Amino acid sequence: MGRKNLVLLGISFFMSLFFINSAFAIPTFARKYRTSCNTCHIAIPKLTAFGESYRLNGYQIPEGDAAYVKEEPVSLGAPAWKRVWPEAVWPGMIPGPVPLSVRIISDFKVNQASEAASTDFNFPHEIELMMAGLLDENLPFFAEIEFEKETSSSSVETDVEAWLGFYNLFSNALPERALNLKVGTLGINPLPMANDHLRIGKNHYLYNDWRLSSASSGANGFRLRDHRGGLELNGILADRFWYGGGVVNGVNSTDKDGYIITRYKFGGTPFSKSAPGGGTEEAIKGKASGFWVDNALELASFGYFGSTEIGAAATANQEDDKFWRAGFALRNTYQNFDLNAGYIWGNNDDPYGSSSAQNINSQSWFVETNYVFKPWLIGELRYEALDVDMPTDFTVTNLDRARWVPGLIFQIRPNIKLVAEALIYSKYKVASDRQNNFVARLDANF
Amino acid sequence: MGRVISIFLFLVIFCSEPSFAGVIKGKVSTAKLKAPKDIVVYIDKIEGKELSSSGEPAKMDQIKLVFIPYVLPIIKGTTVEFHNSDDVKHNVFAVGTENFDLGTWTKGITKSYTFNKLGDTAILCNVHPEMEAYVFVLQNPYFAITDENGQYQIKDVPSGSYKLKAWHNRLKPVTKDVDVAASGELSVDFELK
Repeated sequence: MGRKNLVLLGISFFMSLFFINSAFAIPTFARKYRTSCNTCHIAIPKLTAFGESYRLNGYQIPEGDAAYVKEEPVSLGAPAWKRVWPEAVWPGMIPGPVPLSVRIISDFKVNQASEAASTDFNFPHEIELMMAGLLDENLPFFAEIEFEKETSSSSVETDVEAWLGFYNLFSNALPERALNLKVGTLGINPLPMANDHLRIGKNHYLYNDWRLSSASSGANGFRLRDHRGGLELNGILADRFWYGGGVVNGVNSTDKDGYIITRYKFGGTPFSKSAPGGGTEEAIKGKASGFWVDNALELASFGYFGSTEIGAAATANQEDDKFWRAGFALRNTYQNFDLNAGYIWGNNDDPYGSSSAQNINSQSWFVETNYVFKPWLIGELRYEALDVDMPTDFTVTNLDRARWVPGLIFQIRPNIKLVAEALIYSKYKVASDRQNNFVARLDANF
Repeated sequence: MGRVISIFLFLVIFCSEPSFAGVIKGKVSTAKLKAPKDIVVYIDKIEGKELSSSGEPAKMDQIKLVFIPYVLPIIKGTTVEFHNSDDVKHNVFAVGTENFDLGTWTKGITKSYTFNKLGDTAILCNVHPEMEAYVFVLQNPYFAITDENGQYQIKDVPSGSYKLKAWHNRLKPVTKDVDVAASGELSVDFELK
C-alpha cells in the first residue's frame, strides 16, 4: 500500500461526522440503459460494486455515460450554447420518457408479542414512487414519495426525499468528481456498507433506527435514519477514498446539525470505476460471471453533531441538548461472502430537559453476513445490540436490546424478490419490546 | 521532336515539386461517445507552405431540425454555404473562433460565410436551441473525419515529421508525433477521453 493510500486511510479514520445518500432500486435506469436490475443490484436494492460506483458518480457510468444510454434524453439546448453564456441560458436536458419507477412492498407478518401471537396481511405495506436521472451531465436528481402503513390497520404515512446534485464542480482545477454538491431532503446513511435504504432484508439496522423514549418534559427524538433537508458536499479522491459532509436541519428545523462520513476501499472496484483494475481482476477470475463478486475490504467512519431544544419553547423549562454520534465499520466481500460489522457511540448531554440532569451515553454494534448460495438465493444473518445508559433520576423506558436477524432472499425475477426474515430478541429489558416476528415480504419494482 | 520530349521529361522530373507522399490511416476509439464518428484527424501544421482553399464552397444544410453534417472540416479561406431545407425558419449564428450571425431565413435560401481563422466554431440556430454543428478550420488539406467505426484515412501526405491531432467537440484533443515516409502507409490509432 502506497504512502498516499496510508494517508487517505488515516484521514478516513480521523475525520468524522456524517453523510447522506439514497438510491433504491430504480427501474428507470434499467429502461434508460436497457439493462437488467442485476447490473446494479445483487438483489434489489442492495448494490453491486458497479451500482455503487454508478450512484457515487451521480447516476452516471464513470468512464463515460452517454455511450451507454439507449433512451435518448431530450435536449434543452445544444452543448455549444455554453459558449454563448451569459447571453443565453446554459443548456440542459430532461429524460426522454418520464423517469418514473414504482416499488410495491407487501408483508405477511407473524408477530409474537409479549402475550399472544398475531398475523397480518399487510398488503401493501408500502408503495414508493421514484424518479431519478440526469438534468444534464453531472446534474443528477432523485425524488421519492413513499406511502407506508406499519400494519394493515394503521393509517397511511408519507415520506418524501428529493435532491438535486451538482457534480464535478471545479472540474478544471480538481480531479474528476472530487467535489459534488447535493441539495434537498436527504436520507442519512452514516455507514455506507450498512446503508438502510440499500439493505437486502426487511428490518432496519438497529443502530440507526432507535430514538430516546419520550418523557413528560419531552425528549430528543433524533433518529439517525430520518431524512433531513440540507446541503452536502461529497467527492471521490484517488479513486478509492470517498468523503461526504454537510449541514442539515436538526430535530427542530431551527437547529442545524453537521456531519461527515469517510470511506476507503482496498481492492475490488474503485469508487471511480466501473470494474476492478490491475491485479484485482485476477482475484475474481473464475467467478467473473458473478455480478455480485467484488473482492474488497472497505472501511468507513462517521460523525454527527447536533443540538436541539427540549421542552416548551420560550419557557424556563426549555433546555438545550447537545448530542453526537460517531462510529466506524468495515466490510469484507470475497467471492460469495459479504461480512459487515460496525460500532457506533453516542452521547446526549441533556436529552430529557428538565426531567433529568443526566447525560446519556449509548453504544450499538452489529455484525452481519450475506452469502450468495445461488444468484437467486441469498442468505443473511445479522446480530445487533443497543446499550443506552438510561437516566437514574426518573423512570423512562429502557432501550437496551439485542437481536438476531436471520433471513433468506429469493430473487424471483431481477425486479421481484421474496424475503423470508425473522427478528429474534436475545435481550430486552421491557416485555413489550420483545417483538419477535417473522415476515414474508414481496418486493416488486417496475 | 525527340529532343523536345527529352527536355520536357527532364524538366518534369527534376524541376517540379517532389510528389513523394504517404498515407496515414488508423482508428479512433472513445468510451464517451455512442460511436466514434465525426472526429477530425488532421496534421496540425505544415511549415513553409501557404495552403489555401481551392475556392470550391463547402455546404452545410438544415434538414428536419438537424445541421448536416454535424462536423465540417475545411481549409482556411473556404466559404461555407448554409442552406435551409426545412419548411420552418432557421437561423445560423456562430460562436467560437469566428463569431457571426447570418440571420434567419426560410426554406430554400442559402447564405454564405468565409472562414479565415483557424480553429473550431460552433454553429447554432437560435430558433431551435437543440441544433448545433461545428465548422473546424484547418491550415492544410491533410485531414480526415472518422466514420461510424472510428476509421480514418488521410491520403497524399507529403513526407516529413508532423503533429497529428484528433479533435471532437465533446472530448479532450489528443496529439501524436508522426513521421510520414515518402511512400507507404502509416498506422496511427487514437483514444480520446
